[in-house]
Amino acid sequence: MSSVITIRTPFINRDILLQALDRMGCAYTTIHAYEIALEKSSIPGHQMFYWKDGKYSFQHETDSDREHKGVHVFLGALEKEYNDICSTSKEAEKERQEYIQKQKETIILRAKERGYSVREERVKEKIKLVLVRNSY
Amino acid sequence: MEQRIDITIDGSGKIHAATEGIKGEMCLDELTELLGEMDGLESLTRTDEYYQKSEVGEKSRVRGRQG
Repeated sequence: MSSVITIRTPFINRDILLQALDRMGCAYTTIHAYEIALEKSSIPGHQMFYWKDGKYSFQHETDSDREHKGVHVFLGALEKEYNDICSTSKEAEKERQEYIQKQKETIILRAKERGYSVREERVKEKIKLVLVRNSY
Repeated sequence: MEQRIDITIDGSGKIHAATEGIKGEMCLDELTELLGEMDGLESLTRTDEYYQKSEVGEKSRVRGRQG
């Protein structure tokens, strides 16, 4: 192994993201469709979500380890609320599966361009991609 | 040498990826190339192999400085 990473559930639906923030008691301002500025949350400092590459990304700048941990906890809780709401909406779930499918296709395309052979497996509800190449 | 990356995408879109046979920072560069910018990174664990020197990486850096 060289490294192992986990990337959170993407926040792709604006209404559900706002509902999840409501559930967490966060105050926010929607600047326009592509930006959501948080005014009150469990972490100090200026924070916002901005739309990029088909999902909302979180922006928060800090050098403090304590705040980094706070961000980690905050996003973990938000992810849970977001997933709970998504699971109750067929439309949101469909939108999410389309996003995942597109994401999978993009990864496969990039992998092939970079010389990997790609094997796809379905493990229960998960998609598993095994990328292999030889370097000399 | 074989380089392998296992990527799992769960039903919520969460991604878990593990590299094998790619040394040093090259493994994170490779993941970025494949997955795009890693917004929403929840965790990152570097393994022993990560800290081994990557020959390709070193050569690339030397070439970069010459250009």
